[in-house]
Amino acid sequence: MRGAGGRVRIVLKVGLAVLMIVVLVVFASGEYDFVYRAF
Amino acid sequence: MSLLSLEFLTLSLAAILIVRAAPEPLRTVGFVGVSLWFITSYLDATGLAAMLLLCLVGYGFARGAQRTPRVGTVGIVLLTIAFIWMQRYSFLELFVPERLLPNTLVAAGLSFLFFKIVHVIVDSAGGTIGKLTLPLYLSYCLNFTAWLLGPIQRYQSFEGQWSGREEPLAPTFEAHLDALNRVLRGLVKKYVVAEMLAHHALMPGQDVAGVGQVLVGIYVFYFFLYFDFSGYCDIVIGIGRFMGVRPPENFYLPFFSPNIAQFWLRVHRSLTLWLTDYVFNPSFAAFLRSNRFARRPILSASMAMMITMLVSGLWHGTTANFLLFGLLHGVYLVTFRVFEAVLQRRLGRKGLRALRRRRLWGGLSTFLTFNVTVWAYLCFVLDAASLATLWARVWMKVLG
Repeated sequence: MRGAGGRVRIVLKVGLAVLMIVVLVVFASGEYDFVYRAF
Repeated sequence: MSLLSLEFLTLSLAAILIVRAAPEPLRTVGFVGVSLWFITSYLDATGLAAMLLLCLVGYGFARGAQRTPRVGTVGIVLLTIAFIWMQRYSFLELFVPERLLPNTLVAAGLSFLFFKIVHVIVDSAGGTIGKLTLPLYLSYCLNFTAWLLGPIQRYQSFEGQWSGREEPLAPTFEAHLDALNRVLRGLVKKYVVAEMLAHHALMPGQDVAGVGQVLVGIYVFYFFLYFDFSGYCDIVIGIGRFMGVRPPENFYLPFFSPNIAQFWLRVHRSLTLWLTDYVFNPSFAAFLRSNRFARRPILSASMAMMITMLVSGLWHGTTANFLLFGLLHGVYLVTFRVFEAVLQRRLGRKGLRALRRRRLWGGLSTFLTFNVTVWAYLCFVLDAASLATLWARVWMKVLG
């Protein structure tokens, strides 16, 4: 049985995975000129 | 093959499926097949044939070494000569005619493969490898997760995980999520962060501009190399966890190393442990056994460290600048060990431990380690001629 802390940890990890997938898709699509301009 | 491609994703999924679900011998044959699919994207037919020949010769010597250890010594000498020839070390051009040197480059993955084969031969001779079968040996040598850039996994660890004696991944949702996050983290590090840093880093083959520009560029290169290489390791370790055969950890925040010895345990750790076991320990033991150095442990350790780092430098690259890289790190390590021995003699063990615990001491030594390791990468990036030009420019600035 997972406690409330365990569930929050899982949700955070899933969120992190989704965020990283979004970042990778954006970079893989080549639509990331705005990042270079920021540097 | 890019690790951020549909082809690599398909290949990885096929490998996970085969290793986790297929029965033997389909499992081993399938895994070797998938690994060859990956390898052939980097090597042409000649390169692949050379690699496979090296593997098979290594296997023959390892089996021979299990019966007669001296066969292993002969094997290591012959394979080292073959490795030097295949890598086409620059010094060979001084005394080997051009027509006798290899024309095609077969270097991708060769350094790692060579160290793995040497390890199998030495451990076979030492009796620490049990039954050595050709299919499993080929799976180990050609394992696509550790083929291109390591990490250098030991045969015993690979065999333990392959046979299921070691559990690579707990059967829980969270453990699988962690493995997925490890792969994604590696992809972001390698294909996002490192790619951005590459635009500002001093890269191999680049012309030496101003001294200031080189210094900034080398600091960026340090971080580029870290994110690129550790990102790659995250990807293959994550895939390995899913598959059931996980390469060892290789990086642990090297920029926070409090000294140079710690640095080498935090950066490319699997290589450091390999060099310790197969170069440093035997050389140190040989020096201690000799009449001349038996009573001089610090001198013996220093010489063994120099030899180890020179081998490390030559393993990283085939030109003089890599030899210089190894030499420089050898000097760093020897200086550190001698300095530590002097401090211990003056302060005693407890005094040295107390000094290490001081925040200011820790901060200063971390800062110094970080900077000297960054500067050493100049030998990694620039060839000998560019290094000489840079050195001359620095002195001209110093002398006004």
